[in-house]
Amino acid sequence: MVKLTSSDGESFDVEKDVAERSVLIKNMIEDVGDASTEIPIPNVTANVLKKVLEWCEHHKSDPIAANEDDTDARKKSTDIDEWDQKFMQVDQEMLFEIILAANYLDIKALLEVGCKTVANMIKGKTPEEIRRTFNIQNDFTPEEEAQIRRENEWAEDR
Amino acid sequence: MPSPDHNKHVTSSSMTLDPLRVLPPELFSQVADYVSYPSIMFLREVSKEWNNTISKLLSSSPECYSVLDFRSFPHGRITPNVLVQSIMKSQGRLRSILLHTSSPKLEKDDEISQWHHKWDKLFVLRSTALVFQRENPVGFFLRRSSDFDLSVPLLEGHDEYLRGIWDIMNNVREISVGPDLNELLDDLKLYQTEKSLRLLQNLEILHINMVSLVPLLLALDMTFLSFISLPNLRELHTDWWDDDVLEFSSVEQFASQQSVDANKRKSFFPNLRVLKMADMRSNSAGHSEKEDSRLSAKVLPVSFIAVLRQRLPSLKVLDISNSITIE
Repeated sequence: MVKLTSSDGESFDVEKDVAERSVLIKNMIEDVGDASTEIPIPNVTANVLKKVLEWCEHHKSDPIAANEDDTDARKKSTDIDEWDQKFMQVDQEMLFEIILAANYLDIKALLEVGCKTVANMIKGKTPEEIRRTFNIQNDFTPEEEAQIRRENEWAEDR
Repeated sequence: MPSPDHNKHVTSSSMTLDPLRVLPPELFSQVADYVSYPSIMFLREVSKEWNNTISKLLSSSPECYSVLDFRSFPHGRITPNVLVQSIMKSQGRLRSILLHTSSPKLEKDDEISQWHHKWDKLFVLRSTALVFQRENPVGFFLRRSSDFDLSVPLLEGHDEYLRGIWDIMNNVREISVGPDLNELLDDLKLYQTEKSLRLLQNLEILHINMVSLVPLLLALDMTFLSFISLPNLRELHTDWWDDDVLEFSSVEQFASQQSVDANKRKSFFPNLRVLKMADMRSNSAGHSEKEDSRLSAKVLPVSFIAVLRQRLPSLKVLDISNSITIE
């Protein structure tokens, strides 16, 4: 077992193979040379770390993906498996925290799922729908907006 | 190795957050990478910050243009103009085009009957991917299933839309097909019956990655293949040769019956020079019938070769596993 401590001081006892889904933690364990040493995770709060560890537990037996030989089309696929889809059904704040934590902890597969989830919130939406989804203000002047639309006209072909 | 700086903390209490503000640039870029070109262009219209970021991304990342994905095209409309413009803007970096079409939604029954034939055409092309090498299309595959309904403009512009795709298909030089072979043949059969929509007229190399009846059909009777006219086809490769489907006795019987008028038949592959087939029976690992006493396909009956040579006047190389060359 490995003991991880979140930024807000909460400790988690985790199986080594679960914790080692994180390349960062895996390297730290190797550096310390003693799996029983408490490992601080200073950039991840307890509620996010708990969620990340839930993902690691579910995926602990997954092979580490070798993604270099995939085709561009495949790499760009935003398909997400059912369990991960449900896992990512969280509010936007938690979603982004998970992405940031996955990036910090170097868990590529989780980072990929997070980025795909956000991409799926964007894809197929009109600019106005995207603004509503993420509460973004349209700060273009009417002239600027018209200009960009003109630049995109070739793709709209209305 | 990720740097700790990447882990900006999400401090807003709002339930909706601008990913561009929450995520560091490299992570937003990773998100945007899943929004394929040209859909990503429309993200520029969201806000000034999005416009700046996406514009920088497009100018600094040639890979943005490598896949042209219309499957989730926000406005659901693709015309030949859009297709051509997209290809031009990709400036030779394009490697794949992904399209989906599906049945347009009709509102009136009489429209259904009136346009039934046209809808049939659309059904054939549910999904197409053209694979490019530099600016040249070098292959494509077809799929019937679709997970996205493209709203094709109702009742108008279909022929133009299809022609735009066919124009590109007629520039394809090489195709590799697997289980979609029959669909490819169906498409060819359907469209080559119309003089105005002949497909793959510049196709030079065809790889069929499955057990294929084509060599047998070539030798037996061109009637079944008569819908296919590939005047520039130079090479035909069938990677899976199964001589269970090649009944030499049938070929001999057919050849004796048809030899009189064989020379009068039109060759549908007039420039085919190379015919290569993998002989699975010579591969013990790939064939389970060890006690099979039938002839290996490597031992070709003279009549089979003779018929092939009649049908394929330009044939120079007939390669079955261990290369049998005729000339």
